[in-house]
Amino acid sequence: MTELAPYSSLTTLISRLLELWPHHGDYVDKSFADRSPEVTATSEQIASCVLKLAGHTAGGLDGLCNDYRFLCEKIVLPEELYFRRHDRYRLSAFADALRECYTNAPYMARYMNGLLISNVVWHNHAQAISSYMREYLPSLGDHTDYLEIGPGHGLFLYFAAACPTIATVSGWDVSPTSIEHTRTALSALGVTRPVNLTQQNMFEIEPGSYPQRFDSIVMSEILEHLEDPIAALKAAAAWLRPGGSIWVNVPANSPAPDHIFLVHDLEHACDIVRSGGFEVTASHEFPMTGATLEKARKRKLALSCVVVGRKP
Amino acid sequence: MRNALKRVDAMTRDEILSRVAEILRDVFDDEMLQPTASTTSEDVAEWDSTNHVRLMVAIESEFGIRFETDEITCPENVGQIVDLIETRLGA
Repeated sequence: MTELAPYSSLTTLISRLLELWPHHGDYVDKSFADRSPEVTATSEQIASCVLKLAGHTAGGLDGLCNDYRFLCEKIVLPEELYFRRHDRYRLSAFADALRECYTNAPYMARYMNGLLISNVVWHNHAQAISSYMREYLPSLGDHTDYLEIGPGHGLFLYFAAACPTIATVSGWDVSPTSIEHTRTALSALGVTRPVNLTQQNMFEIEPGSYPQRFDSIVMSEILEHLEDPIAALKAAAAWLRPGGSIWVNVPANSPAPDHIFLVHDLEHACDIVRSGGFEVTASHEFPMTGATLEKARKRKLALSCVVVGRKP
Repeated sequence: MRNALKRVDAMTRDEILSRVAEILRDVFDDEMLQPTASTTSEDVAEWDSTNHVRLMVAIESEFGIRFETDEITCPENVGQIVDLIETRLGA
């Protein structure tokens, strides 16, 4: 396992997690076993964010860790069982996910808290966000107008706000509750530069519905929640200036109670991005903890698919 | 199908263990694996929570049975998996 002692935030987070859930030790060992120093360094940054957010969360770090365990054991595992039995996600309609999940505020709070920790602990999540931080953000040109659709926990916006080449930072969500959650998170993380957080439906693309177009749009773990991800990408393209880029992170074979669109593999993810009107300029696939890429493909295990597209 | 289920119903514990061992080798892609009743997830490097679900679903398919969701995570070793199968076959 990668020696975590030099990384104070990782040490604090992982130590507490394993005190509360000792049986998760083998999983954590596997997740950090082949993490490069560069990825471990970005995980340290994420862990630092998590610790700051824990200070503003009911239950603190222990609450986040317990919610992470709840996510693994009570939210994901039953869906994994359904997925393995039926080779498809349990739900396929947004209305069902809305009824079962999105309108259940206490459940969603635990779900989101668990996912926050997963950005550190789950191998594929840590690799995907590291790719965003180390490759995508530095690739953006000067004076970039940046938009994230569905900013959720706020981590991506936090790092975008710290990127010197980004001129304006915006975040959209259809849910006022989510917008407020992101606003609170950015405040807790100490973001002081202006971030335009707006309740906005990306499909409302008629002129005048929003006064700005963008050079970069980020959609992380959004498409799997939609019935028609290609339509969503076409809508996103309408908000981009020609030559602008989109960074998409979508999981393949990753069952969850609100995942309704099944992406099979990286090539499928790339096809979706192309169908949305983009040229694919880069793509990566990151296997779940404990799996090699070869085994993840063969066994249809969870992969994080990162696709960068360019609007012609 | 009826005949196949009848053969499964009539299996001895050793025969069930033998078939579970074969499933383990297949699920974990390890032809050298020689599991016994006392083999646990700690003895098999890739036996994590996701692969455990894959294993249990493969067993369901092989034996024509269906576990309750709570039963999936209960077994602590291969012998307890065989216990579960026996219970389900006898149910």
